[in-house]
Amino acid sequence: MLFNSIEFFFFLPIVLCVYWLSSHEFQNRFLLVASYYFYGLWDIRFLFLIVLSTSIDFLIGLLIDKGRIDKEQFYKSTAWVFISAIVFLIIIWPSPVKLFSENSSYFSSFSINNFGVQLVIYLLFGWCLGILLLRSILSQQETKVKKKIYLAISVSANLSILAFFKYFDFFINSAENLISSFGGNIELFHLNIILPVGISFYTFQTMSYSLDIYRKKIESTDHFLDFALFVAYFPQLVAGPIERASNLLPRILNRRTVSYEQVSRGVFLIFWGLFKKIAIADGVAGSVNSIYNTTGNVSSLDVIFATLFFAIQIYCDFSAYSDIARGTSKLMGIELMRNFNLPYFSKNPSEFWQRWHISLSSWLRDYLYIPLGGNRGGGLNTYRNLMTTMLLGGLWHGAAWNYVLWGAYQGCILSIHRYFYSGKDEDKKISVFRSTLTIVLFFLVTCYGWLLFRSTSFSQITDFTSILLTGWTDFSLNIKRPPLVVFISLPLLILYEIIEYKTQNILFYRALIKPILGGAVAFILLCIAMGLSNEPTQFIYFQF
Amino acid sequence: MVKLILWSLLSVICIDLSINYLVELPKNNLPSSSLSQYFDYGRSIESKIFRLVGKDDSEAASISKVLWFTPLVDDNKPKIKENHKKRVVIYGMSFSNHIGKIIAELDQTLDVKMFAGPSAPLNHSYNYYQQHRPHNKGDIVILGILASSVPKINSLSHMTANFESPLPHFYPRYHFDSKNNLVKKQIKVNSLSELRKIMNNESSWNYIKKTLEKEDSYYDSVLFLSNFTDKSIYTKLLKRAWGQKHASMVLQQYHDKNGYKNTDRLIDLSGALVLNFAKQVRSDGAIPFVVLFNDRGFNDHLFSMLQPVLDEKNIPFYSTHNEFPATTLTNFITDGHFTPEIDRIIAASVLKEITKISSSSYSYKSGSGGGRETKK
Repeated sequence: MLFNSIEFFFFLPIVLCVYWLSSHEFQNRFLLVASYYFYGLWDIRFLFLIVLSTSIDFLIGLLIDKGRIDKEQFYKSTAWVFISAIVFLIIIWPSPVKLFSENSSYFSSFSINNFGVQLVIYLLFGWCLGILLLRSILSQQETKVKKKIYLAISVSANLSILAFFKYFDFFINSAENLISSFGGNIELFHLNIILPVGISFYTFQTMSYSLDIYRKKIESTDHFLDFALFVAYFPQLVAGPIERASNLLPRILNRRTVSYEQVSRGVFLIFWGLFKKIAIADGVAGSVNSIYNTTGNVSSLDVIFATLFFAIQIYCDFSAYSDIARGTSKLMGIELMRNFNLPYFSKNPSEFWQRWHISLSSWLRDYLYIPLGGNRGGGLNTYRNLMTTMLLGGLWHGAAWNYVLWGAYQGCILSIHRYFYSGKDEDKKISVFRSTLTIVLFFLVTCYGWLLFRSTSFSQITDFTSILLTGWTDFSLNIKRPPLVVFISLPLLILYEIIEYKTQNILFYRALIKPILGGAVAFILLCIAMGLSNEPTQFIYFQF
Repeated sequence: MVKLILWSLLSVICIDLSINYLVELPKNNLPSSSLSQYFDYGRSIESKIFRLVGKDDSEAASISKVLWFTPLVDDNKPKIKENHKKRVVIYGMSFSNHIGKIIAELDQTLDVKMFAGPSAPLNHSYNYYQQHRPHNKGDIVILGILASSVPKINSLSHMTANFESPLPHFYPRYHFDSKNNLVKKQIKVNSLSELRKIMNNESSWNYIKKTLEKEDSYYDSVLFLSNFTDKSIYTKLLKRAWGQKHASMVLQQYHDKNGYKNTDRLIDLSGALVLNFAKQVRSDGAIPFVVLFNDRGFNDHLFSMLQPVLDEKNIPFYSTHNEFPATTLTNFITDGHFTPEIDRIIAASVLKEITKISSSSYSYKSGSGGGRETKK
């Protein structure tokens, strides 16, 4: 279900009404069902992966923390895995409920998936075998070693799921290409499977739970269903923010109240997120696609405008998702972390990564960069760690070489910045002109990264780069012109962000007098109404 | 919070009234600014059609006065072909008109006649040919088919399939009967004055609306019927968005990224109309020729759909997909048409083909339903 769809427009009020009227325990159960429904509308089969990931990390979390699992907890989580396997894999459900679709045929028929039956039998066999092996291997080990093995199981199980569904075909294709480049000709097995939406997000989130228990930052939970909600919590399930268990789990476990302040800010975030997504991101999407999805010749101006528009699109699209997720969650009294903090006001790559996709960059810092050694080894080791972290960060985004290249580019600019500015005082006062110039120049550096990110092939990267470097004889402009709504919405967004940057106050708008604030609301409503005619696009980060 | 909501409502009203005042459409269908048109896209089809038709011809939009059925020959004049020129008759839409004009320039020994409707679907062109057939004087008859208009084969009018800029003209929709013969359903309105008369009679107009609702796949009552929502800029913008969602939902029934779907027998119908066209042209002793315009968003799907039929019955054709792929942005101008340079190349290619065909000695198995052309 998309946040900017008609379905969500009905889904959210219903969820909120039931939620507000329920007791704490029912709230959590209801939210779990709502979250599974939210995800299942896309493809119900992949809910099984979420349940599997949940069960593994729940059990491993208990094993790491307490060294044992109660029979009840074990049976409960095992039952969940097998019931969900039957419900999500064996039963073929009718088409998901598609409101307002003339082709909808929901609850028309149920049938049995024979492949699903086989899969569940293998799963049952594998699960039992795994438990038996684990018991026999670990009975002789010391507690410290056991904990390490438990953690390794959790990490490798999660990464295996991710690698299987996201990277299997990518590595097979790459191997085939490599072999063919040496003159060989081999056809390997391909999965040709669709990528489960949000798999990178919830996998990282569940992994952080086991890792934090291992590091003794948090304690394991005994409540399976509450833990399941932590993994599948619908506002941030498919595109983040990637929450830490230390932040989200206590909010789920504890009784919650919803304050007026949270409702007010939550409504604003949803409203602002819809504005950014519908009026701006979807507005410029057509222009970006008109250059990046074409096979024809393009000019240097086309590449420049398309890349600038993509920089706007990806920011407005992704930050809009985070805003709507945070806003929705606030309406339920649950605070999610801030994922974007005016990233295009960054003056250098280090600052950029403290402002862009904060939940991922901090995850990579805490669970990859620092364990690799961080900047402790000095010089070359730090650059190696930076490059490794950013390369894997790039690969996290998608199974394609352009994302790896983008990661490498980010690693390079971070290393270059570190080489020149390490230890220097960057906070010293500089003139407004110099500060603005630095921001603009670094924005252009970021934009080249977006060219790598958005390109559809390696040859497009080389073509576009060479056009930018040498194609200054052709000034034709073939890019599709963005709709009117972009031209009236973008100045408002820029003005809003400049004021927020200058005042360093995210609630600055509350100081405005009511008639001006009311006028702004009416104007934003107009922009959203105009933007609804843009061709709606899926949130970009859904594919990751 | 309550104060903010009230101020917001007041601001919405002020913005609505201001924009309505600033972008008011001129009276008597005089040309309006692009901004006025932008904010008017979401008005109901019914209201737009009433405006286009006007109370009399002086108030009517000029587009409403044209595009009605035009005879191929003027019955009041002797039916003699100009200077014994070969006559090329082209049925289609703006795409085919563009190349028709260029063909006339390139080869002045040809007498080129063009008959088109805005983004006309195949049923529109086919019907046009049917009406001309009794007076047919064409030596070569060209049928232009536009990929994006193929799904509109299930519509009855330029009103429903073009929500943002509807036109008041009608054309028939074809079905297969139980014996697989083509039968047509249509709203018989052949002139502006006839339509105006109907619209001024509530029961006749209601009958037309009912027929559209029943027979036209693109009809949607929210978009068609005039009501209070036509007064507000905000509701018009929302209706425009709904119009686009509706059009995309209808399109999804007939087309996806893999090509056309045979929903409502769309593929069968398209093939049958092309076959019948070729068969009839041949039985009249003329040469049929089909031009496939593969426009943006439709890749080579039109070619893929019709190629088997065209090849099987040896119907000569030209398809744009190879030379000018629909995925190449630079092949098109902003309004979706091919660039003038490409139009010239297409026209030259079509001219070359029809010259080759008409100059060779061909014989036709007349009446054999698009029968194979064989050299003597």
